[in-house]
Amino acid sequence: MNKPSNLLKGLIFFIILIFSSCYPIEPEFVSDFDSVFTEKSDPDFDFGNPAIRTYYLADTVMVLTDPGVSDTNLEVDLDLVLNRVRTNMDQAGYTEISDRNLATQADYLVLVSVNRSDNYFNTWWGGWGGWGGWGGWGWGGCCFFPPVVTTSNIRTGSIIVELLDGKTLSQRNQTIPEVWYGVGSGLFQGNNANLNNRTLRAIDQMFIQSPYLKR
Amino acid sequence: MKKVLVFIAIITISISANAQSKSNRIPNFRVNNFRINYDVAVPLGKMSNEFISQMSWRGVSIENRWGIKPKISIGYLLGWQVFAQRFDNYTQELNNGNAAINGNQFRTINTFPIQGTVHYTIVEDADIMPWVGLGIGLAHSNQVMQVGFFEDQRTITSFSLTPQAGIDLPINRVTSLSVSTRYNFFLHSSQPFNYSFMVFSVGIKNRYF
Repeated sequence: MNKPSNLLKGLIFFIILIFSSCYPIEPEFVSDFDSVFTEKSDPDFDFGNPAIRTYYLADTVMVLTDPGVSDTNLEVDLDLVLNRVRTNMDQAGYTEISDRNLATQADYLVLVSVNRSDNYFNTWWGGWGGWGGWGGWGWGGCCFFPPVVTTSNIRTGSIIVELLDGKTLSQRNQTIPEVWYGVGSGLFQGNNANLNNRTLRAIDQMFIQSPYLKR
Repeated sequence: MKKVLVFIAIITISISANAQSKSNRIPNFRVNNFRINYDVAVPLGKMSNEFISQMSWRGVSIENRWGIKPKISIGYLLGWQVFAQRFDNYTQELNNGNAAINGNQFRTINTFPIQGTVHYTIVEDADIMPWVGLGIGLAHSNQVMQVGFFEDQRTITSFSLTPQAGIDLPINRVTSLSVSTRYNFFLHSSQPFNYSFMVFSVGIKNRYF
């Protein structure tokens, strides 16, 4: 074969430049990692039943953190969270039963929990065979010794709203079947106002994407 | 000395004149050629309606063609095309409407066609050489949908069929500029939609013995 022409060499160089990554579009911002998932845990449950009118909202948000973590004070305002769930249930057309003693008469029992967890991972730079990841691998920085190890933490959080079928609650201490749940999850990062806004937006979104909950 | 200079001048002029007028009139055993193309692609059909409609600016392919008859060549094509699109605040229904996920969605398809090709050069003897061809083979694809921390990744192997047409514009005796278009149809049974996309490519063709 002939010597490749300069044009050919130029084109190869151009193509290498263009293909810096197989995943050209990836999450960039903290909010890009936010997602809201909802599911009917009991698909046979009749959400359209007109007899379902009332709900009881548990007055405490369950907070779940990793075991052994000393800092369990979540930056999210839990009162705001509860109020937002209440607003959404009211807007969906349900009537709240606020008297705790009448809770067993409610059609839906609403539970809210917040989860925060830490995900530690090690990053290696240099050494033989650096840490990969698409696009994160540079030709230039390869192979110095000793390798540098960095431990990083990705702190994630989620807000979980559950609807339990109150009508099946015939007696105390019985497992109540869950009929619907929503999970908003994302990076537990940013200032308090930002965290609160994203959490509340997730709660709204759970109801927006579940139109069958509307009365 | 003067005679020699005149002789060299005559030879040089005649060679260059010859090169201009008969740039492609070369023996058949030299039609073997290697190509490298930069490809852009436009998704069509269900691929565009259901997954990614955005044009892809990232594509490359290499080809080799061996002449077997005066105007017919056989060869192979190896390609790579990357499709990607971002959907902000998108709600996707899952599990027959029993579940839904909302968020900023990132969809990517990396597809690698591996094809045998056959080409027919309509006019071999001109300064513009149009050709048509067909590629048949496999395609290996990686399809990713990402929402938040969730990812749905599928690896797909498909049958690929690619009718194509192009024009070679010779720059000199060895090298040509090649402009072509290919219609890619990737058939795979296990997925809700087949891939079909139109590729427009510009490349360099190098002849060799």
